[in-house]
Amino acid sequence: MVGFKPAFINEIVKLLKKKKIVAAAILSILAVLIGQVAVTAIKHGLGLRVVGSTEFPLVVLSIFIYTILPLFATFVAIDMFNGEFSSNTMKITLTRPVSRLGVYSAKVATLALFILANLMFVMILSILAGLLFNPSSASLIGIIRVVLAYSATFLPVFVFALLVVLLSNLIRGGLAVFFLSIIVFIGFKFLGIVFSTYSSFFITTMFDWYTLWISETMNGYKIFRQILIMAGSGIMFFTAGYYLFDRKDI
Amino acid sequence: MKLSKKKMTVLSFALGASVFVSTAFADMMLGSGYDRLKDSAKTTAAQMEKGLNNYTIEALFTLKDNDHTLMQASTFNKMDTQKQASENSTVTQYANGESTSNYSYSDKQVSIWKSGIENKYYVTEFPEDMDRENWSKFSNPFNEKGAPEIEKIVDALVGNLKDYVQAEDRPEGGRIYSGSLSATQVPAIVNAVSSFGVKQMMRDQAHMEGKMEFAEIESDIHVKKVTGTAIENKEGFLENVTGDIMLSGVDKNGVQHDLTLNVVFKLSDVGTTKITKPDLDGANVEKVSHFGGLTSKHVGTYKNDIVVEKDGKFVKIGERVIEITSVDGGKVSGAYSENVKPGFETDHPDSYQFKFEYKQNDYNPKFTYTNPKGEQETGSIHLSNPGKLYLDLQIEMIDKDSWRSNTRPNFDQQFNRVFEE
Repeated sequence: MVGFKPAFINEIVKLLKKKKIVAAAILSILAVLIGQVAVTAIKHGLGLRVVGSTEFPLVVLSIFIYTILPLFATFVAIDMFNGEFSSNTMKITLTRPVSRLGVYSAKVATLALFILANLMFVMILSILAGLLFNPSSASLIGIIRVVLAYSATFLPVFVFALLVVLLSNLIRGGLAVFFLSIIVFIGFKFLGIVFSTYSSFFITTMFDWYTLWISETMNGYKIFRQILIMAGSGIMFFTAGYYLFDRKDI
Repeated sequence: MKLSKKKMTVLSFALGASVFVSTAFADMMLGSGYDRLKDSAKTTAAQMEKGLNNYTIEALFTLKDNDHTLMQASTFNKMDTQKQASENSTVTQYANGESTSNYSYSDKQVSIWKSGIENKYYVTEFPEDMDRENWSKFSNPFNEKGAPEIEKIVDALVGNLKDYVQAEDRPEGGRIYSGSLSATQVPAIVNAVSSFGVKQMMRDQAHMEGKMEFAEIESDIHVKKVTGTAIENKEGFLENVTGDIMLSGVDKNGVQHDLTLNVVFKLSDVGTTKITKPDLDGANVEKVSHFGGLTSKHVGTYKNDIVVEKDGKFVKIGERVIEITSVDGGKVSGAYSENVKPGFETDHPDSYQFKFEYKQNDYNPKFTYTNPKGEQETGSIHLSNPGKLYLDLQIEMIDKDSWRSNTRPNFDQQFNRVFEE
């Protein structure tokens, strides 16, 4: 991988200049705020404690992983590949003395960084909101659980993003990739429900695998199997995506 | 050896694919503790419906507020699928010391019911030829209509919680399933919905008599803990299932309450359960007809006015009369007539006059009669409020179990008993 590092920095700078980053940040803040308002309203209106302070981030996460996070990961992935090809800026990237694998890995790594950063951002926000609004039930164990849950969530979302990368190298139009990704996302979720015995084959059914990490009794074997499944499909998507990217004419 | 780029790509793709496929298959084959538990529950239910000759089920429900027992209910259910007999007794105890109990016995010929309040047995006898398909047997809930769909929905809702169910092999065969959820793991939606439901329930309870002595929990209601265990024996039946749900909240005085519902099911004495019919000699027995048909106390005359509207007024132009002359051994005989006052014959043509006789042997006994035009028609008498009868005429059968009655004009079908004073 010749020139991975400069390519990576280049990608990050490009990403940071995008308005999408700001949009993702604003939406994440909004999601946390709306969630907190809803929880507070339920608490005072109906007298139910839906969540304690350290459970609040988990509630936010359970909604966040099915909405904003995969959506923006898809946006960013499409932007990196289809966007650059259609606006002809891919030429600039590829004419640098960097191997194609270098460029491809740099893009994927930036995507991973984006997902991770978005997760961490929401985690910190929601922990703060949780502590601020429901201070009575905070505990260190709870905080550790939250960190564990958010970190674990990275893997399935990243694998899904790799699938989007594969699709965006397969299909030319960014819009088509976007809709296809959404269909795959919803379709997998649906298939996972209908054919629940085969749900291990559908990557989006693993989005909430963080629940395994924070259970009272951890099911180590199950976690291990899911890691293998996700790693296996991740490698598949990565190499297939790279193969297509490598053969593309500018 | 240096591999070409293409070979590298193919190789790593193949590696990824094989890891993915093999683990996904392994994961599928292994299933989760939840799936195995579900299978076990299914076999148990199927066997309880038929297969096991006889067995006993005990169930115990306890509701506690902190350490104070609010309610305790226990039921004892003996089943014999071969003899088609069952015996059931229930005792419920409330916090204020009040308790209620009842007992029932049922087999092919007879069903007996006794409540704890009166020392009296209510006995219903069934004729030999009656098809008692639905004697109070256990029916497999997994075979109910729509059960597979509900199962799918539940599976979807449970999601990754499935993996909280741990299965452990027992040295003597069979497995122990266990699982527990703390407040963090209970999905927020489930938490909110169940807390809300319980809150409503408590409010309803407060309006009832203070049997339960519920503390009114005002705020901070949440599911604190859910635990459960199930023991599967070596034949593959669940023989012991226990569950605990703990709900926590604060009442208006700021006191914390932990409401715990504990449920225990026990399946025992498979093959050794003996059901004995209670000895009713000398006991206080009241016989109840199995379909509440007419009895000898219904003998008498019943009337219904024929009323028409004429020149802006209601005018009684005559009477419809049912006379039940005798009810003997389920055989009912009587007569029906429509007596129109002279001068009003044009307002009510074709008066029905007939005698009838029929045997009550099912829920909808019917009789045939001849109408004034000489055609055969079907009618039926039902019981209404005390001293009242309900008559259907011109019944049209739609199929074996459903029918329609075409009422005649100005006829509300309700007949009142005529009492001599």
